[in-house]
Amino acid sequence: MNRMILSELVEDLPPVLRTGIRWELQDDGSLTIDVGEEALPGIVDHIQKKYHSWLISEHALDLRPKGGEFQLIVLLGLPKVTVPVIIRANVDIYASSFHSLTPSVPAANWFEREISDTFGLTPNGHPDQRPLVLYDDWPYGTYPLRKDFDPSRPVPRVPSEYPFRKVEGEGVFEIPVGPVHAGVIEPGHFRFSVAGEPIINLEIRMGYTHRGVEKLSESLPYHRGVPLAERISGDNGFTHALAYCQAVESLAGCAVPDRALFIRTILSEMERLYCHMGDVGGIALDTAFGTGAQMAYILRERLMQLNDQVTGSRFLRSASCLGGVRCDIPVDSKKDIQRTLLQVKLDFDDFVTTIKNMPSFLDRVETTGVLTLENARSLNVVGPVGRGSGIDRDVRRDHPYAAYDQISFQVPVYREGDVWARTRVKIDEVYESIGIIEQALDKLPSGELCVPLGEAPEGRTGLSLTETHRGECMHWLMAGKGQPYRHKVRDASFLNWPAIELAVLGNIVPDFPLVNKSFNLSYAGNDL
Amino acid sequence: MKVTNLFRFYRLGVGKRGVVTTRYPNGPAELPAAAQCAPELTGKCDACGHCAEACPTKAIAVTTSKFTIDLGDCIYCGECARGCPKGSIVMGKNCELSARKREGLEVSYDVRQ
Repeated sequence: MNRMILSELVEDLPPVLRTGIRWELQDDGSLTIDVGEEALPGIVDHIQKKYHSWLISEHALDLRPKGGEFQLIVLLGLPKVTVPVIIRANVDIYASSFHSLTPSVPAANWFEREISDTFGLTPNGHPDQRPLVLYDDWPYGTYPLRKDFDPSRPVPRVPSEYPFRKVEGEGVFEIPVGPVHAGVIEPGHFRFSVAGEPIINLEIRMGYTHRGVEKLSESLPYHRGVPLAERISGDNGFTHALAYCQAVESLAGCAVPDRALFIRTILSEMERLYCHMGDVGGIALDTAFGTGAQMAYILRERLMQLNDQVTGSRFLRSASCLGGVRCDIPVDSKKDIQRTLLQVKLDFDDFVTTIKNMPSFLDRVETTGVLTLENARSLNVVGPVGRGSGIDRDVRRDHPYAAYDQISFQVPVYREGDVWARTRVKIDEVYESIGIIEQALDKLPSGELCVPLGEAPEGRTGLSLTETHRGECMHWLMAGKGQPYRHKVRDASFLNWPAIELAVLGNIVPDFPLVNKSFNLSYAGNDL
Repeated sequence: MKVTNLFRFYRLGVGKRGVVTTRYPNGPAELPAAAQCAPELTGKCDACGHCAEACPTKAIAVTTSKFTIDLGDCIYCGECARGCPKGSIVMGKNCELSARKREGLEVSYDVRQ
């Protein structure tokens, strides 16, 4: 199926685009196309229009130490195809610029600004060439992901100011919020322009927690990358580590034992459960419905204690390792999980009935923060946010990993695109997750937990997608000598943040916390 | 609903959530069996340095006389316990790890060969 669609895709390319390209179907069925840099926007636009593809990632590579040039990698997902289309284009060292995809693929916006910041490659034709990920006082002309950048030396700081978009007119006010917020949350700057109460423009500025995860990973042996990946974004540590492990395993061609696959599935869902409990509780809290919020938070706490009992960590830390999993689920843990989930399900029913019958709650969440299907598609919004706007996509079903292909579950989709739709997606997913864990526990095979990784041949690339509770998470690796040559991480938040700028338009400022909570995005996962 | 009916529901325990809190700090902290608190040196040590090498945050320093772990850097991952060839390092069960000063987080053990 994959092969048929993909080879048809190449043969259907119009002759103008076909000249000068090389293509190859890999062993795993994925399609690699090498194109000239100037032909890239045309080809991506053609595939997008004809096959309704979406942009998984666009990132760059510095191949100069290997005698090459800079390389751009564009990963496209296609409906009904389980493997991505990989498009590669070389960028000339001296020109240091490439043709931007953003005019035809709006989702490429932040990716290209990131490439411009970290590699110094200018996206020609990009409508917004301001910096994105680095600190404001980072010196011009220092590109941290280039191979000749020395991370051990401190970088001199040059004070400068970020040029925010200006909205001017009679009665237009600017409200700066952040980067330091009330409450213990991460830093991010939100600049609202309002005329009266309704928001007429919102600009989000991120990058305050940039830690150089990708650069750091290039200096760590593979097994050290696992604790690093666990700490990319606090509450989906397990799924990030899983994505990293899967990517390294695909480099080394390592076959993970069945029991480990099932345990990975169970732990992924346990993570989703406690995160979703916090999310729906947070929605109730932001509508000032404290009782409802506490009902959900009690459940969240109970689930985190369950995590602690099973793995020894409330956040499922150090449960994953290359080639399998670290922690087993023995019979008594299995019984603990089953018993707790049964109680959680009953109590969650109570919570759902309570909020569904609370007019003051529904009044706040319905029709608030609408993200239309059209906007969600063009920005390639992923996860529960996308599914609340009618995008029927879920990595667990479309690109099955771990043991998801042996388990039956539904993917809830709503199309209103408001806060309530996103909340309902999460509520439905809680029930599905409980179902998945119960099935996986019933089917849990016996066998080994972990196998040795084996050699990862230099130069090979590995890609892995997982579904965190926020949506699709990607880890892309190119193997070096015992450590990654390049490690690209893309959290779901990186795709979803720009969508908030659209969802809040026309809403009143007091509804922003609610909209923001319904997206529930990670700052650290975005900034890396 | 009549008031008497309502009381009957209460007596049946409908809506009762039970106790969701624990006795801590008035009683002992109840930790699950799998809990991983600070690493502790419990057995013999020949200062081979495998633990310091395995530590992702370089929190461990070993000399021939002292084994020092900086709990301010420790991420409680358990790599040192798995890396110890003698099995002398265990992930402890003491969760009260606060200190009044930064230096108080550095815990030292005498090395017994």
